[in-house]
Amino acid sequence: MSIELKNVSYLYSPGTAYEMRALEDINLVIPEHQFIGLIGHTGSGKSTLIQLFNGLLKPTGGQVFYNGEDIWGGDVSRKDLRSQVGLVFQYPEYQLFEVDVFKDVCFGPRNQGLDQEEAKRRARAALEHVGVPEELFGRSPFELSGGQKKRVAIAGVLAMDPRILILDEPTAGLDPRGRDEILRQIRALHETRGITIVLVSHSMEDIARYVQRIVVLDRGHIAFDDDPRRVFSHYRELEQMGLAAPQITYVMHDLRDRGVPVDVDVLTVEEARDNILAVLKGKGAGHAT
Amino acid sequence: MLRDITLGQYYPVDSVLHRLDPRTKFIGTLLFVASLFLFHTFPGYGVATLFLVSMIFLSRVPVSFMFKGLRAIFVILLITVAFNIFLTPGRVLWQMGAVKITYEGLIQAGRMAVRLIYLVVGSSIMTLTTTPNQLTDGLEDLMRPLKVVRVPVHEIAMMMSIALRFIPILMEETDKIMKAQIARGADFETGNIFQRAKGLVPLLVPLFISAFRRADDLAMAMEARCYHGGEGRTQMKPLRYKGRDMAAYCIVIMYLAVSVVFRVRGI
Amino acid sequence: MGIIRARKLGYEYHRYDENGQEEGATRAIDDIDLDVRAGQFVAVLGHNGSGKSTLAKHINALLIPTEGTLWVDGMDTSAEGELWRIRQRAGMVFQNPDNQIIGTVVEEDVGFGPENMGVPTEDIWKRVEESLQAVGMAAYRSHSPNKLSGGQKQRVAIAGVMAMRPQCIVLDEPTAMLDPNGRREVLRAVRELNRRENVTVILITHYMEEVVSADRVYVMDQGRIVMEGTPRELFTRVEDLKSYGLDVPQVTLLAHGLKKAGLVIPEGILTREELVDALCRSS
Repeated sequence: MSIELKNVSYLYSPGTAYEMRALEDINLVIPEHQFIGLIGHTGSGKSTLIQLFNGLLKPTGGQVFYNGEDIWGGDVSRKDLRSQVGLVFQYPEYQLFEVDVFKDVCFGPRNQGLDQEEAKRRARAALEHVGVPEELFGRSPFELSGGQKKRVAIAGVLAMDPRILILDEPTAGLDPRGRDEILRQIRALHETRGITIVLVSHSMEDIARYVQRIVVLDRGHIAFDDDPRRVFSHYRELEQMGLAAPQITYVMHDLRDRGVPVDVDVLTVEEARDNILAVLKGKGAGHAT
Repeated sequence: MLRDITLGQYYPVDSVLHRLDPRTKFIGTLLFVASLFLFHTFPGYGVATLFLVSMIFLSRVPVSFMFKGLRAIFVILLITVAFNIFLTPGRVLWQMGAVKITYEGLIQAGRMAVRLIYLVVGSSIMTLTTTPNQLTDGLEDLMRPLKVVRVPVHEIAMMMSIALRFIPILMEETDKIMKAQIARGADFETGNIFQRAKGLVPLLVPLFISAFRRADDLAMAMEARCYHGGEGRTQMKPLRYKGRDMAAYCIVIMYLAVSVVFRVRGI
Repeated sequence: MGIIRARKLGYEYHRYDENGQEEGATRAIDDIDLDVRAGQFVAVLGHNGSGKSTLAKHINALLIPTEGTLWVDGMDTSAEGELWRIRQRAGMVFQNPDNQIIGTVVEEDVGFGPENMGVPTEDIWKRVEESLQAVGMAAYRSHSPNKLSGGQKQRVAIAGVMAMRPQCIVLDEPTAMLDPNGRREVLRAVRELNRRENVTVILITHYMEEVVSADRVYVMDQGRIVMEGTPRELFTRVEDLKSYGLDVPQVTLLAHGLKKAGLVIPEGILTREELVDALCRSS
């Protein structure tokens, strides 16, 4: 269950005055069971890339494979592909339309041709998975808060039982509480259902905390594709791409530059705290003896 | 990339026609259209052709853009021509059963085709050299006399210009909503007409809700910036006729005079 | 006297069911006292639904208080006759950049406010030019707003308010829909206006790092003001800030964690430089 992109490029409005190159020569493998962060400046090609994964866009050059099969090769059903590779867009307002939450989540499974009972079972499971309480099932999706809408939108895709779930900025516009809850639930999905997650985000702090691998896009090219520690060690290059490492990375580098031998690879506040304490205490103990 | 589509197909170059007042261009276009119906002989059409070609030349817009507008009316053009060729009575040139072509039919068809094509190209020159905004301003000003009979001229113009601003945004939004629903297995392409109409619900509901929300936000933003209708409002870009507009009016009126003379004299 | 002053401000709205029967009332803001002096940079922090946007709309008289009074430059916002003068004095920038730009060309949008106020044509052009300069968007004056980035659109919206020559500008979550670069751009523009043009700024946000340079910060929760002080004073109270659902910057969190573990560092660390300095001194 992997996605593979080979020499993929994408041009908008090819052959016209508005021609614009969004992606160029992208080679990328998304294997099973990974939690991947996709970052890039606005206009770096992120949105184009995720739409290539599930065949919403057709590459203007190169090939996209799902399980080794070229998805534009002829006998691949892209409708089936889209239920295997789920994509949740940034604004839940773009997909919520039914009279109540439960019916809305049933939309995907019904489109897959599942019978009423199975669709309902899937919808219920998906809603539970993202933490939407049962008393909201009968409510209109338009009355929900931003965070709840986002969960229902995710459930709407999750109910199709995808093997790969791509989330475009799932935390945009949420307050810290809502954001942490959603991210924790996404991580739980990854852990319990074994779903591959591709998380598109602007927040380096979120990415650093949750993902196993980071893909950095810069002006249509893959700039880095590595584990978070190594990607953030390029924090100066990231800045030139209009991105930044988590604040913590900067603090640790500044300390190191000022002669405090801390570990510059830490990713979270807790790790940083422990490391600084250990270094400072070690030093203090050194003075005492 | 839908945002790149400018409504009204404005072509941004600097030319004499671009710099003319929108009212001049609007009235000029109307008079040109009138002349097309005044002329009815080949010398007359020759004069119209000369006028049109000079305008195309003056506008500095590539000719291919002028004829793009014709694609939209191609079917109408074809039907009109066919009707005229086959249904005009007169001197028979060719006949096969009930179907016959007459000399008068051919002349009439040619005349209609020229009129339609010139009409479309002529108004294209206006829309290609005038931004939708200028056009709205021009119309607002030309319709001003209607205020006397309580036509809300300012409001109509304001609505038109807001529509111009939001159509590209809503088009892009339509695209995104469609994609979000296709990602959930929605189908907008197959099925009979009823299935397709039903299939549009997942697109239309989010689109309408978003449009209403935008309208609501926009109304508030306008109020916050002291908008309270056309009363006591000044204009940043008031329309003022310049010397070149007067010259343009003279040229167009002379051209119209020629077409009237041709008509009266039967040339 | 302060430019914005509120006493016991409250706003209650009623919810109705499908039959028009009242279901209940929600108090969006409650018992708010506020004093903003001319030229200040004031921030209002709060999570979604804390009432901060409702408060913002009162300052522009888009909402009229159901209890208490709000004065803008000495004018009571519930007084009908002062409406347009109040809106001119206290301009407002909203969250969604697309839904507040009216013009199809940047300069025409900026001119919209002055047009409504009946400013003479030559004067409008002068104001538009100055406002676009002030937010660094003069080079885009003849562009279509649709082709600008989110941050640029918000700067155009700010210029549109500035062209009305307000004394105070209220920004209701202007950065919530922007990417980090857009956020930086907009905040820089706002700080410049405050410093150079001496415009009073009221910034509503839920990002704590945006309020570091404010003169005074109010924290709202459930419609009330629950904390108030300078950024430095507030940033020492990490547990409280977290309990109000706020996004505490990593630097502040780290400083707090280190302090709790027994390290001697000063109170209210705001920036990474301060933290690094403090740590280097203590090592």
